Amino acid sequence: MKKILLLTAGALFGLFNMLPIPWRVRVLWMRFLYFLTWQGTRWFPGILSWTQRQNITYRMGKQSGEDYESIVQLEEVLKRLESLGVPPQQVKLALDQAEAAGVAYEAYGAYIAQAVLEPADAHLILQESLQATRY
Amino acid sequence: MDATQVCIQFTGGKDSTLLAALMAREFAQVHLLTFRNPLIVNLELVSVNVGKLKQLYSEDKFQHQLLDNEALLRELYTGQWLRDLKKYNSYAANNVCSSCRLAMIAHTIRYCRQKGIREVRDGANRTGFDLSQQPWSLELIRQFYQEYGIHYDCQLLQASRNDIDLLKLGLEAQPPLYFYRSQPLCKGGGEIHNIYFRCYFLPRYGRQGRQQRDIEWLHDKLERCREYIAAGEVI
Repeated sequence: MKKILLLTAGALFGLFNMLPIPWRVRVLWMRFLYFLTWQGTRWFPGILSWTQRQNITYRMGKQSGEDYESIVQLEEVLKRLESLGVPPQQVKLALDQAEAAGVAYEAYGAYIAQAVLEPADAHLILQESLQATRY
Repeated sequence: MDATQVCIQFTGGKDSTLLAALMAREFAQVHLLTFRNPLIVNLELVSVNVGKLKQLYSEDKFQHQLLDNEALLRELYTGQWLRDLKKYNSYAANNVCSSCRLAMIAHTIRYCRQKGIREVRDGANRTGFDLSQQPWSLELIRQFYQEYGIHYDCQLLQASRNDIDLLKLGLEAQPPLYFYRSQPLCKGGGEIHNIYFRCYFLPRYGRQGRQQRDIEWLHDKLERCREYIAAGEVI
């Protein structure tokens, strides 16, 4: 049932895009779609795991250990550490420790934040980065 | 043609930045091409990693160029609208991403011809979802570059966490620096592509179906790119 609904919605979406819409209007439509997707993943984070399951099924896109959320989390942590003026040498030390301890790639962001910052600050950054991963 | 120069399609993202840093070790001059069109916003973010790359190597190691690919993107996507719909059905109307990437490739070839560059790299890797990063497309793209005497390679194809490799590269530099993606956003092209393929095309036709349709579409649109390159308009 779910699959039929999805196929129907996808087919209608595909058909809608076949309409002879002027280029400028089409650009606005695409930007609106971006907004909808951004809101969708913000309110329904399960979309991201569905996407990852699809990637595995079709062997395309990011898969296990490469998920978008962990990439964004690491990036957000690094941005914050840089803006706080934390010397990169400290991050290097944390990264070396993570490698030596066999930490999974998905957990690098959290590991670095916890190794470099006070627990309360690390918690705050990780909470904020969680918001940023919503697309 | 000059083999001491390399041309890279550059967004400032983790893949293209890592690639640019690696290529800077192999080539005397690295040309970074960034593309703009109405779907792309926050273009100024590209300059962050261009600056860091220059800091890592030298100011004159990199040449950064901003090119507009809107005209060709439009032409590939909507130029033969009715014919494409008849031939490819809804696939053609939901292929913005692929049209954009092909437009970038055609512009890259024209740029290389103008500058006498015969090496091209891009950050395509297996974690990508769009047509230009699928193995069946990469072979056709490689052959297309070859037609113009350009050697194309995607050295990060098998890599999975380029963000971590990029971070390490920055941290090992002297002096160490933070390296992470700083790139513009494409607002919408990817969404059309993703929604259509994930909700409809892949569940209905599967991976094999996509491969077949991608190859047909690519052959077709590469022909249009050939005409565009041959026209040799000034970039």
